[in-house]
Amino acid sequence: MSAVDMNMPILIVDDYKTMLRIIRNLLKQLGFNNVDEATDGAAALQKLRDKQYDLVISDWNMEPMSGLQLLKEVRSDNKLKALPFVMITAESKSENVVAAKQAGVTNYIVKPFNAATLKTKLNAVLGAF
Amino acid sequence: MTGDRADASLHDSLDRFLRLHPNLDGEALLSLVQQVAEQQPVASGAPVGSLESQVRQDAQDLAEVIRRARSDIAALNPSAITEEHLPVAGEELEAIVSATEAATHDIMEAAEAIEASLENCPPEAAENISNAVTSIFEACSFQDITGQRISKVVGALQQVEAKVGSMLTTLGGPAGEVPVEEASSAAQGASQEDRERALMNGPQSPGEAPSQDDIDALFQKLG
Repeated sequence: MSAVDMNMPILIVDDYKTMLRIIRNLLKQLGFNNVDEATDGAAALQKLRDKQYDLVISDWNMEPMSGLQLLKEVRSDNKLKALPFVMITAESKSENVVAAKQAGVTNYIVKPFNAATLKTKLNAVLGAF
Repeated sequence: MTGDRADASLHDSLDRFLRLHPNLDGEALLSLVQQVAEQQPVASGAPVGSLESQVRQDAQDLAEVIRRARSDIAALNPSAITEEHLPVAGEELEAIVSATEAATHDIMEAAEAIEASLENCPPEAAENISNAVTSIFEACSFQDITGQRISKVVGALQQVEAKVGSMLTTLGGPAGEVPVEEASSAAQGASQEDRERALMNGPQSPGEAPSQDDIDALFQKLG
């Protein structure tokens, strides 16, 4: 039996509504149904401060607050700093991975990605489910 | 110096000069160069030094280069580029993004409807269909990637528009509205926000983009 709470609240952040929908559907197929959405870093930060989440899955390239800025805000907030944070982004240059890692990202998925990659990374972050 | 080499060298010098002085009045520059070119030796009949002669010849060549550049730009019909071609290209690209977004929406609606009806299917068939639906969801992410790529192209078009506008201003054409961004000064005085913005480049070309395995290896290496 999985030790992972499949009803854990997850926040997904992307400025492309289609991508939010794709990630939501893929999470649903993996068994995660308690999923909220935000379309930029600032809106996500507000949601994170208003409600407790167990995982953030965020895009990088967003305005007005990018995924990297959101990550830095999360890591500098005492209540949020331990929150698992997975970046899903088309930004695949090594300097991007380094910057995200230095900012404290938990895992990094490059777009376009598939369901198997998402599952592997979530297993690495949350434990096997 | 041969005529062609002198011409190329003058072109380079003029290019550098105009980049250093983006707001220079092209008419005034041409007039100044012509005045220098037409200047007679101070003492009539005095031997003309080779340096003075060379300077005068260079000035005449420079005046010719400027006249030719203005004529070339006029022949390009630059206002049609900035007022018609580039805006139309931008609108067409935005239309592509909207159309692919609408199509992706419809595809996902259909895939979600199929998935919702799986509970009425035999288990084996349900699994096969579910896998196919997953593939549809994955494929739909093309819309995000193409959208980001098209945004980069729109940005490049805006840069071209700005450069053409600046060139028109410098060489005496209609005033460009968008100032040219000075890349070097931006890099020198870059704030933390600027540096982070420089990390947002969107998807790389297929041949250049690293795979997820490459990213994982780097991620591991970083500890």
